[in-house]
Amino acid sequence: MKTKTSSRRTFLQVAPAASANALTIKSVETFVVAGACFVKVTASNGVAGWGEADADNAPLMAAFIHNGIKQRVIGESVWDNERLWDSMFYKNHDQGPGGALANSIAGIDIALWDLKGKLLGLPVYQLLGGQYRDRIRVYGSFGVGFGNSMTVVEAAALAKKLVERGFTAIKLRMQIRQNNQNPQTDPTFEYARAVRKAIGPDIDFLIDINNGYSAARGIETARKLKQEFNIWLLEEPASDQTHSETAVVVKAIDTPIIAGEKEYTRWQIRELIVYGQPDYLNPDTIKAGGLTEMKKIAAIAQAYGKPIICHNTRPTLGTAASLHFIASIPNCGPLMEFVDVDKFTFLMGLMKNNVTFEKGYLYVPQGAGLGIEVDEDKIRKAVK
Amino acid sequence: MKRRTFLKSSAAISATTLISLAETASAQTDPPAVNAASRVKVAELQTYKLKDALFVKVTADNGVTGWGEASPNNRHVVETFIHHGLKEHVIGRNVWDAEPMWDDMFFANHDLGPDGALAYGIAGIDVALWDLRGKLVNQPVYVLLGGKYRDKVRAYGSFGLGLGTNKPLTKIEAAQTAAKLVARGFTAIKARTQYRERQINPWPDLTFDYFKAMRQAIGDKVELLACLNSSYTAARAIEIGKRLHGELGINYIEEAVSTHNLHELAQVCEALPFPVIAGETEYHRWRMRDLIDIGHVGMLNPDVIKCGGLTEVKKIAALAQACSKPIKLHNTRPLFSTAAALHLLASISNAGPFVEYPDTDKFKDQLALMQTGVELKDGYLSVPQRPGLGVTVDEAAVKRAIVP
Repeated sequence: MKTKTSSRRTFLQVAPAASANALTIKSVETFVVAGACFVKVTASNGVAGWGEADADNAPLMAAFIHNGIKQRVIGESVWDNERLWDSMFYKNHDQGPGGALANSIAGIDIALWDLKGKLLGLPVYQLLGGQYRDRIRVYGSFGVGFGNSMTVVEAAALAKKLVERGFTAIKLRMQIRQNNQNPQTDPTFEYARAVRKAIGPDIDFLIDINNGYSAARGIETARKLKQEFNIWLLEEPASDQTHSETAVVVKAIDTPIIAGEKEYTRWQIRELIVYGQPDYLNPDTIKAGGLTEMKKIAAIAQAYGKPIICHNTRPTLGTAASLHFIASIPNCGPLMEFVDVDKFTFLMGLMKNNVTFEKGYLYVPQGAGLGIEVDEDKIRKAVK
Repeated sequence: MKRRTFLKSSAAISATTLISLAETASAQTDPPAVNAASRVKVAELQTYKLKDALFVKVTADNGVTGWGEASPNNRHVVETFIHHGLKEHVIGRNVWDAEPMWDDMFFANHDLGPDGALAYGIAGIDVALWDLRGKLVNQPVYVLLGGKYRDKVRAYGSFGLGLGTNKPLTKIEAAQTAAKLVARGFTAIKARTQYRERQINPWPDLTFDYFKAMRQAIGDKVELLACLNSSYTAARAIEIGKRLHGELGINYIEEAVSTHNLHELAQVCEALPFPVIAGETEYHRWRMRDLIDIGHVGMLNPDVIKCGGLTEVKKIAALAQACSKPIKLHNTRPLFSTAAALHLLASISNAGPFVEYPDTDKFKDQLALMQTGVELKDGYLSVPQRPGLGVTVDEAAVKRAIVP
């Protein structure tokens, strides 16, 4: 359909006001497969939208969605994403506003945006406020389980493979964790040295401490990592429970600090900004309440001058949603996270099309809704 | 993803990896198709300067139009700004790029002052573009702003007392105007003293006497709000605020102190046991952030046709909500301004207890130019339900009303 030749009548046929406005949500289904919790929301006219909730505990996401959350949206207008978000959130936030609740809401919320896009024939980013960019440079990300899940040699080989695949930035997740704070023997330097050697001097190198240090240790380590391995960014050096420690690190070192993957609501993000003062924020679309909440988080972050580098560890619907989000915000940082796709061939095989990765960039999908067509038969067969 | 693109991206990897990626890619199909509305561009932008109004009309390349309004305060400057500096960032752009267009208009011009004329001009264009977007997909604007929390908003009837001007209302006229608005159905009334900052701590100060006369005229059941138009220092605002609250049952005051001194505002907000409202002279998210963080304001009252339009006020609403601040919209015009305000308030969780609405007796000529889709009933304004802003314009009549 060419723009110039389409009549006003064509537009009216897209979404006749009376019937389109009366559309309600008929069903919410979850599909827990290995490594994902997909969510399907079907409207009263049979059109469906698909989303994804956080995958860390997919069965829990499904349980929450079916017990407490979907009851707030069934029968409601498909267009009321903000009101429905509030209803899902406030009816359940005694169960903890961060974590499982926000992670589950994300799945329904993303599906609702996909549905809205499909009903109007528009890509989701156009409904989120338009397009600032059509691609984003991504960093290849992998974790070494505090030295237990991958040897130094394996980490170096994986980093090299990702660079060969086209990534121009690499993130090493040390996964030290808060309950192992300030380890006496810290494998970080050994891994950082091997990875830097494997990727060469020209690749942007990010290190994620996963909350494993006190402020003093974070400052000490950050300085060494900068000096010896020229790291570009340090992620979550201190506990996410103690923003004042993060602020101490931020003020002491020149290397930018990023935090925010464990903050799931606008209020948590605001407190992180005001008290932790990180240089960048990395909320995750499939954890932080979905696109509705992420847009609010972006607006708040922008008012405080904080760019967003999306946390993003799932390569299908989650990545597509994150791409629509970063397309639509002014304060998008220079990078977004992406994964080693070899680990996700199963999940990517459940989609009829996938996002485009080329020369270190991911491209914003251009179809209606999220622009991803799921293979529902395959997903149903894959359900655990 | 096209199979070709996918394989190209994998060209440099090992044979094993390539096989696994190729398997993933085996069933690649095209994504769901978009419709023609997705590709529509802005073709034309016109302004209509009337006696006490500045309308903006945008026309898309498929002929569909959208209408908006900028604050009429110095509309000569605002109209010039729109044609010299703003519209070039809009013409030829995809109509859906609300945020990128806003940024381009703002950041290309903010050396001329980020507030005032720039924010007004952007607002007029931004509101017109939202009207256009709604019409393109045949949906009311609130659907595109995130859906609907409410069908109607309680309004307060608003008028100025002119105390700081050379044409003040008499005390009797003030009481009569308040009573007239109550008879029209309003359950809340706001009067603006219109003493200004340059007359700070006016003497004699007729504020209390006028509000006492209005309170007597409308009785105790009607909510009475006082806008002090930034005319007090903190100490004096606290003193008069306590009297208005304690003796006249006034539960909201607006613009108690200078807009230029947020620390004074914080003093007043901390001292008074009822909401102190500010925000009608703050025109973007950063000033609103300061009103909250430094001024400790009780409620915000941005004005859609001054404060950068719907795109910006929607962001301000999110910021305000994260800090538990309600949005009680400032709105002094009954046409596109009111329609846009109602769509915004329909779409935000933290819509404050009221929206402002003027004395329509003063706007009979303007109201004859269009059907607004807005109804005042039992003190509430209804959210327009037709596509776009829901306003139907008599363009020929608008053109006849142009004042050079």
